[in-house]
Amino acid sequence: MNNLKLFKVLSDKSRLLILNSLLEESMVVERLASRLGLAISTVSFHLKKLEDSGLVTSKKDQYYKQYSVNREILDQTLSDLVTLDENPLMKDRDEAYRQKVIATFFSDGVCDQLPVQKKKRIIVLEEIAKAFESKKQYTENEVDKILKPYHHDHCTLRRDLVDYGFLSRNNGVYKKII
Amino acid sequence: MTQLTENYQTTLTAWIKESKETAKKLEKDFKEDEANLEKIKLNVYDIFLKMFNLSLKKTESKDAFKSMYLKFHKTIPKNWHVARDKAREKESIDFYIEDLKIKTANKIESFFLSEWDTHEQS
Repeated sequence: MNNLKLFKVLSDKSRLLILNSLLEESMVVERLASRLGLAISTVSFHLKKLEDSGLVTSKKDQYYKQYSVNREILDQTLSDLVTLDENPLMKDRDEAYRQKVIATFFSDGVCDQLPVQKKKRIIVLEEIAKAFESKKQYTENEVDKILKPYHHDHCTLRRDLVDYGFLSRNNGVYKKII
Repeated sequence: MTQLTENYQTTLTAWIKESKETAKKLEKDFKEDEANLEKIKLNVYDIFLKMFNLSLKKTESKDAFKSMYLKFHKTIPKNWHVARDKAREKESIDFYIEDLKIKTANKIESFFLSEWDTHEQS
């Protein structure tokens, strides 16, 4: 379901009033129209939009159509609703950018120059942090031994990994932060 | 004809004004779609007022005027009927829009015919 369509449908006072009524109980168009003081055709127009967005469902009951709210959609949280289907696309773009930064700053697994720009520096540090095992404890010497092949200034690297939250340091013991 | 012309033009102008004001009120009340429906009505009023004035200008007799004006009530809504039928088949929201145009045109035609009966038949 298209969430943008859903928000558009919801941004109308009459439709919210219709939903309010339907939250009380299922109703037919005529009853909604008399309750809201609207023409039957206007209520039908709104119900069609609500039905198309999935917020309302209808069931034929002899000659009349009974309208009800669709709890499955209405009970979703706002964070569910603001999540767009385009998220995977954004993730793909982020990954492409990450790969570009890595290709620029690493040459045969060695980082000749640390990026000055924070965003790029974090990507480089994140890549180097992969050399550490999670849950394992490291001494400072062990950390330096791992970092030396990556960059000549391993002290700056070590400090950065702690400052940017990739490693924790406690009484000279380092641990990878997941 | 003078009385009919005056009544028709005054009434249609009043309906246009009323629809404009209603649309504004509805927009302010976060009822955008209803405001748009009101604008559709306004548009239909405007079309037939123009056709009325055109018929007045282009004809010389009462009967020719009536015939020309009423012809517009057959030709203009023709496409609306086709669109409404298609929308009904597809269960599309456009059904309500086309239906509103047709109903508004019918209202104008009925008003014209009742004015004609009152002022021109006697």
